[in-house]
Amino acid sequence: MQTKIFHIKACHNLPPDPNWREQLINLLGSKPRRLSSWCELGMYGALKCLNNSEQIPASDISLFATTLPHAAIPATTRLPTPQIPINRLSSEVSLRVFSEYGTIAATRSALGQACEYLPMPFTFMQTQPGQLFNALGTTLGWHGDGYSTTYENRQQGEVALLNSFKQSALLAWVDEERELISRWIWLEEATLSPKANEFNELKWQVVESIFQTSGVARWLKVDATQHIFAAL
Amino acid sequence: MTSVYISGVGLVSSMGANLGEALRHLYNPPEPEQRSIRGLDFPVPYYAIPPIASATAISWHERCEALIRQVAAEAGNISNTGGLYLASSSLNVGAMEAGENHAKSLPDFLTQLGKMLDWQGPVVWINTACTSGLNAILAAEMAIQSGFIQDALIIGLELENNLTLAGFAGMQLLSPDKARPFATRRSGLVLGEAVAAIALSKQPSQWRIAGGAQVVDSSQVSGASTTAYQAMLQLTLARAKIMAGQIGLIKVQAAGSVPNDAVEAAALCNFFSRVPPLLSLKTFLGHTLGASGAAELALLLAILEQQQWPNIQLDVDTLDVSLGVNFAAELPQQLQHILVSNLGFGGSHTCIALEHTAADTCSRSQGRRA
Repeated sequence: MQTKIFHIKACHNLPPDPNWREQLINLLGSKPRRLSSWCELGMYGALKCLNNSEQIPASDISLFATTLPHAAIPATTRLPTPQIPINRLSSEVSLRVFSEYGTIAATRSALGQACEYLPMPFTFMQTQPGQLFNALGTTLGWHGDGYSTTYENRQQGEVALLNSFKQSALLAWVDEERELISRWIWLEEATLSPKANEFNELKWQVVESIFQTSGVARWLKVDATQHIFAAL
Repeated sequence: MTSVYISGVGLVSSMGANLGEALRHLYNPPEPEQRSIRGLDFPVPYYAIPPIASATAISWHERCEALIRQVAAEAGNISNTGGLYLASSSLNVGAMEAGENHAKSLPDFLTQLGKMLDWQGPVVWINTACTSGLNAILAAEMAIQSGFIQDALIIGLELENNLTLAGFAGMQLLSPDKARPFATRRSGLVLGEAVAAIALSKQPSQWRIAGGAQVVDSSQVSGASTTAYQAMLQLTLARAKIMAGQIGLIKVQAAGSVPNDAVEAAALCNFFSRVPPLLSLKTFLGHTLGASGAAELALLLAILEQQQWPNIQLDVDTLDVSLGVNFAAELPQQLQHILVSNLGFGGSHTCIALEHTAADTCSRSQGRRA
């Protein structure tokens, strides 16, 4: 494997705020409907990450499309206009979401319902993590490729995904068991050679996980020894 | 770019304990069993794997291990230091329902899976619902090309459980009697269980993965989209560097869904000036969900290797002529490029292009060649 260097376009690796659900409503402009709690948590982290993107031009502030256009929501139930602009996401960006428990909470609910009767359709659909990509596609106008994945060893998985990278990707770790986690990082492969002077002058520091990268880091590197480094 | 080849395939399904049995049943496939679901007034057909001969009552985990070991063995002599990719949408839900002691986290389940095959390399789960198998193949291909792993084994795993059947029944997606892809009287899906293995290697063999693409479309949560389907085809052909006219066969989704069959047919008619020969394998295996990509690919390659052809072409009284497509009556000759596609919940559309090579696979694998 060769050394690869990535530009960190945006990153959100903080624990969800206690009022993260309210923040998500504000980010979306309406209450998310019929999504699993895992999916909502993923949406929250993704939108926080994208809002940290340095590439949101002021002229491109748009109130994106949710399942219900904001203007279509009755005024009596309409929530305040979203305060935070959200960019559209290019379909060239791949989405990869790590999870160690996945949609287990929704699966438990569906299993409980199925013991009594047919599970409710939306409960059953919530058992599938693919709902997250569908919801992000609706919100961001994105039509790219995405999947949820679990590695027996997540750090090994991070190295694998960095090595099989295609230009630009949003990588995430989303979990709702034990603790709430929704960490997202948007990476773009550097076009310059890793041997270029610009990169040699950076102070690289080993990081155990791409999801522990400092919020101010600008660059990420994976080398032939499968170690991951970050630099300002 | 390093080429990646399919070096071996294996399948356990309602058609039998291996691909040899499946091919023997190709012209006289077993009838699906009937399943009663709590809350549903009528039983539904289900393509179940026949009981393991030597076993009377075995646990979900024991059955899972026996079936996985069986398909891995059939796929050939595989190094256990490569990547082990699991494609499944229901995972171990059957073990949960049975009250068995089950893995409490996904990495723990992958550890169990690795132990079943004495696996030393990385173990990975890919989930995009019914397109999981094809996306796992694409993920493994990229990992091999990057040098992260040398080879890979993809396991498609979908074992019977009540939640999946009841969930599909609750969504009113199941046919009460039979899957009828592209037919006027199509009335929904018939589910099935399968365990399949696809071995990938850099060692040249008959089928090379020429390219592939996944497109997620959010306009429908559980349905297909013509726009996304066509984008998937376009991306696949571009990455495979082949023209639409070079495609000799497409293994389509065609599961018998009233809306999705129509969407798929419309996309094919829009995209191709002349739609290539089509084949669907869901009337044989049922819809095996997360395993379907691997299971249908394994059966397809066995069919092509043995030069057999399941004639599922619909007659004029049965075919929904408004769709503008039908299945091929005969095995297409001199196949150089084929497409394998699946559609999945969440708006996932995935396709893989395979290129036939002149490579001789006899020395590569002691198992079933691909």
